[in-house]
Order: sequence, then structure tokens, then C-alpha cells
Amino acid sequence: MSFPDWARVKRPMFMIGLLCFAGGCSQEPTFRLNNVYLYVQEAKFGEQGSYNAYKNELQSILVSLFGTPDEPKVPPLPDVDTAALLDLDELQVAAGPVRLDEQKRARGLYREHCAHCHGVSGDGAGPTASFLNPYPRDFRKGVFKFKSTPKGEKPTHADLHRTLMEGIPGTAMPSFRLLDQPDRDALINYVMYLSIRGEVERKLMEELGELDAGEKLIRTESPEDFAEDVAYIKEIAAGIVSRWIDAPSRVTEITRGPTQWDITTSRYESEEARLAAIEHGRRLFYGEIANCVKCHGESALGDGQTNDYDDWAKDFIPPNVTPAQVQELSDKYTALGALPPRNIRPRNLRRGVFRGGRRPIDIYWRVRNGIDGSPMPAALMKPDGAPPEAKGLTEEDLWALVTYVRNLEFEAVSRPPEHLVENERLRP
Amino acid sequence: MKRITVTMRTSTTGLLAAVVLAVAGCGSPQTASNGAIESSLVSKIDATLGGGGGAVAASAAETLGTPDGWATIKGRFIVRGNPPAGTPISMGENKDMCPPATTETVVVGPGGELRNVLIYLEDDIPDDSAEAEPLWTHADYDIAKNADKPADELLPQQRAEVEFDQKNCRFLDHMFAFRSNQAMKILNSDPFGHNTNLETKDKARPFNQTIPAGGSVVYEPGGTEKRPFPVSCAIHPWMSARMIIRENPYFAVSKEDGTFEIRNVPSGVKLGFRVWQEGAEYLEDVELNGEKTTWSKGKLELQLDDGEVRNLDVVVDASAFE
Repeated sequence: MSFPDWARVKRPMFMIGLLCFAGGCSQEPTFRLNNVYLYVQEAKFGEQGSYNAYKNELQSILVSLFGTPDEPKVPPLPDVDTAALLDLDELQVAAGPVRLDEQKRARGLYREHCAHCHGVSGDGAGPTASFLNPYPRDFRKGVFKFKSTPKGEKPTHADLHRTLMEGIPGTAMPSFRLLDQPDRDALINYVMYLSIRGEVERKLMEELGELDAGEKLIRTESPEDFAEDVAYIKEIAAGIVSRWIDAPSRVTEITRGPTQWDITTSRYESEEARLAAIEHGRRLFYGEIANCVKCHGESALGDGQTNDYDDWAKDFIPPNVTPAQVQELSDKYTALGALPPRNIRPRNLRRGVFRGGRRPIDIYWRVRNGIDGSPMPAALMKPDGAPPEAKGLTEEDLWALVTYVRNLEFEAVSRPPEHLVENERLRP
Repeated sequence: MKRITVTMRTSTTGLLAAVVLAVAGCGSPQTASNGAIESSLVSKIDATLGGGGGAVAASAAETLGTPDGWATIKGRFIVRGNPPAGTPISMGENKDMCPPATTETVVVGPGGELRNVLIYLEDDIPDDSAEAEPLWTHADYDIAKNADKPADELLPQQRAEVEFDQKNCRFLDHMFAFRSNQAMKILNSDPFGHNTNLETKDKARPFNQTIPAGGSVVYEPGGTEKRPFPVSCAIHPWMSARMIIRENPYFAVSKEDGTFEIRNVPSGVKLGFRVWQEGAEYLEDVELNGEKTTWSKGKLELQLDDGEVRNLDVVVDASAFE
């Protein structure tokens, strides 16, 4: 039997693929279970293989709270107005298959624009993910790096919107400026939804460690137990939602700019003032209070402390494991859907490429608050009214650091090497 | 029917190949590992979701009863057999010349004395220590009342502020417990900078801040943590400790000699404790005062008599740390 030539096969294959896509498969798309985190919990608290028994229950709880990729739900929760945070109409614009509605407006935006990298489940493991460095964000941890709020707080809608507008320089994340504003809002809503859903999933998996053998998350035998367990799960979800609702009230407001700063031109008043700020920032960079040098290196090339992992990899790589153990863990969890862990590199500050943006306020927020999910700590600030010998940075110090860091790319040493005579080639 | 006409025009081999491909694409084995949705459970949960508000949690007094006095829990943790020794830490690039160290996952004394075991009351109880006659949290634990006493006369649980220090690139307390209404002063006794990263997971505020040589910073948790969470330092990524933050004062960490003591525990009521150690996670199969006992998920239920001193001599088999 000879295999028919490609041209003859591809059309029916395409058609069958299309059939499948348009509902030919009996199953609706489902969110992928966070198997990595499930088995991390199992390794801690359970017998090997025992956590398989929880999968159906986990999926069922999550479906009843959050629906499916085609039909998202906004769960009613105690004490929080979930519907005010997650707009179901907007979620439906972003969710589901790529399509046009009756007015010919694009729908299924998440799958059109995001899912190939971030995955249908928001797990950061879409089909392109393994080709990218850095990997796309896994939203399910509920941790976002580039934001205006302190460590541990959620980003605001405006923070996520900035990421969509600007993209993330130095990564594969592009700008989505060309979408309409309502479409971007719908996508931000959907990212929040995926993140909340994913974080609830993780919390439920953490709860498994508390259960006795054979016990379930939701006891179904008596109506009282059932109601109590469902209420407990709703409380967990409400706790996460409330942190998202609170984010706008947690923004680190800028109380003042540098002195000798002309607010109308957004420049230092004089070149002397700017150079003085750079020199002050340089001393702080190498000094023991800001201590930037420890990770970003003597050279500021990001070559200081380089063998750490980010918090996503730390989910399955504990501290103080040998390279052989890292390999073993990597093999185990990549088989379950994790991407191979990479060391997190402190940013090379001489390139002038800053992932969270290069405006002074962007760098200010990174230094002031640290970067969630990464080893980057927040600056130690001198409390108001502290004695002069107290350790810590002042607002003025922070702005000097910002000015110094922003200037690094313009230092002579940051430029590519000058061309060398011995490299000259004569044209034939 | 047009779609079928199109496919019929092509060769059967092509069709077959395409069908095989399509089927393989639809029902991948991952679905099995993904868990199935049990529609009966979904609709049952859905039925309770409509109400909006969750069930009101019964107050602690209703579920736990009324205490009739105070008792003490003390004891000791001993390991039988040879637990895994700490392994030397690879420090990689160590510009701060930190001294060599070994991991502290399991630390035992010469007689098997197990250090850094955490025992804590898991049940939520009311903090009534400031009331005239508290029943749940003994007046000794009222932080405000103890404010003017010298710190060394107080238990850590009685102080307004506790200290968490690091020296020689090591957290001095590998397992640290404190209360959510206390402040924790994080110190750095090294001649170089650290950053302390509290990787909280529950209601306490996460924290990751630089702490310069000889410096300190005060952390206020603002909430409790249900379980121990890791503490780390990004500048020296091998540094590691565990921490828990509770509202009530009924917790202890076993000392170098394996002993611990919790004073003024409410008596006459059933109290659910947990016993946890980093290398074993929850301590489950133990010998308690000479008798084999299983603490499922480290759960230990105690009901004490007024004035009683309950002794818990716990022997853990070394296999618990495998």
C-alpha cells in the first residue's frame, strides 16, 4: 500500500481537523490539572500514587466554581463582590474558541492572542513555551512581577494593562496596543480569572496534606458536612479574590521625586545635579545597604549570584539540592508538564532593556518593592523620623539609584567593543 | 454533507491516516491523568453555591466546649536508629567567605535528641487574654500586660517583639514560631548584607527585603499561617529556615536536647495539635510514652485536666526521614 502524496492527503486531513475543532470531538476543552503541584504535595504528604484519587474531585470542584474554558463562571463567594472584579460578559469575550459574534466582533480573544504561549489553562506551558527564554508566565501561582504594589500584593488592572500595552522588553511578550481597549480589558479580566482559578487549585492541593487516608475535600455523606466543606472552599477562594480587589488600595504611591528635579520638563534642573545623583547612586549600588552588587555583579552585567531559581521553579526544586538531584526532579516534573528549570539571572543592567519598563517610576517600583516571584528583594527604607545613623535608604537615595541604573547603558563600558584594526577586512 | 463529499473524493489511505491522526489528537492519554469531571458532584456543589454567602462558621466555644483550668504539656523527641546526616552545602560562588555548613533538615544530638520539631495547637481559639477572666488564652500571654517586664523573664510567646537573627550565613533558628500579634525583628549579625525572604502562603504578609550588615528590620505579619513556610536569602541561596505564625501562644519548638514545654494550656477541652518536622513533614508513626501510636497527618488530640502536667515522650524511627 503506497502512501498517497501529501497534496492529496492534506485537504481531507484539514477538513477532519476542522470537523474536530468545530465540535467533532465529543469532549469540550477542559482546564489542565496542575499535576506538577499535585505531585509536589504528594511527595511531601502522601504515598506515591495516592493523590491520583483526588483528581476527579479537584476537577469537579474547580468546574463548579469556575466553569470551563468555553463557559467560564464567576462564583458567588462570601464577603467579596467577585462579580465586581470579574465581569462575566468580558470573560465570555475572552473565553471560548476563536470566533465572531453576530456583530462580527472577535471573540475567544485569549485563545487567539495568548493561549499559544500561556496555555489554555494559563499554566505558561502553551505549545510555544518550551522554545522561549524566559518562559511565558504561569498565572496559576497568582504572582506577577511588574506591578506598582508591594511584595505579596496583587497587581492592579492598570499594571496588567501596562504590560499589555508595552509588552515585556527582552522577552517574547509583545505589545497588544493594536487591540481595542475593550478587548484588552477583557483579556486582563480573563488573566485575573485564570490566575484566581489556578491559585484556588493550588490551595486545594495544599489542603490535601491535611486529609486522612481516604478522606475527601468535600465529604458528601451528610448534608451538614457537605455544606461545611463547600463553605470552607468558598472561603479559600474569597481570600484570594479579596486580595485582587484590594490591590488598587495597596499601590506604592510616589510621594516625591528627586530634589533638583524639574517636574515640567521631567529632567534634573542641571547637568551637575544629574551627575551628582548618578555618583550618589553608584555609591549606593556598591554599598552595603542597597547591596545591588551582590547579585547584579561588580560589573552590573548580572553576573553576581546566578545559581538561584525563581519561585515557579522552586515549587519543585527545594534549596540545597545537588545538581544530580536537580536533574532527577527536573525529569520527574517535566514529565508531568513542567518546563525544564533554568537558573534565574539577575538583570544585566548595562543593556538598557528593563522588563518592567524603563521609566523612572518603573525602576523605582522594582527597587522599592522588589520583584515578586524572583530573588530580587525590596530595599530597606529608613523609617520616617529615624535617627541619621539608622540603616536604610531615603526617598532621595532611591531616586539616585534609579538615575544611576538608568544611566548605566550610556556608560562607555556598556558600548560594544570598538572595532579593532586587526579585524578589518579589505574588500576584494 | 458537503464535507463528506470532499473527503470521499480522496484516496481511502489518506482518509484512514487522517482519521487515525484526528482520533489520536482528540483522546490523548493526558485526559486520563487530568481527572474527570463528576457531573453529580458538580451539580451538588452548584446547588449550594447559589446562596452567595458561606455557612457561618460555628464559634470556637460552641465546637470546643468550655475550658475548666490550665495545664502544661512537656516532652522530648528522640530518634531511634540512624537518621540521615546533614549533607555539606555547596555554596557555589561564595564571595562573602561564609564558613562551610551542612544542611539542617534533620538535627539530632548524640543520644538521638531531635531538634526543631514543631508542635502547635491547630484549632482556632479565641484570644481572650486581655479579659478579666480568660478561659482560652491565659492572662500570662497578654502581651500588653507584659510590656514593662524585662524580656529575659518572659517566654517568647509573651513578648511584644521576638528576634530572628542570622550569622555566618545561617539562620540561628532553623525552625521559628511566633504569634501574629507580635512583631519580629529580623537581625543581621554578619559583617555583610543579607536579604530575608519570608515565603508566606496563607494570611501573613510576604516579605523580602535587604538587611545590611549589623542592620535590622521589624516585620509585622498581619495574619496567621496554617503551616510552616520557608525562609530564604537570595544572596546566599543555601540559607534555609522554616517559620510558622500562629495567633494563639500554644506552640513550641524542640530544643537541642529534644525537649519542649507549653505552659498554661486550657484544660477540660479537646484540643487538636499538629507535630511537624522538616525532614519528616508531619510526624505520623511514633512511640508515645512507650506505646506505638499513629498521629494521622501529625494530628494529636489532647484533653488535659486542670493542673495536669502531661508528659509526651516521643520516639521517632529514623525511617520517618527517608
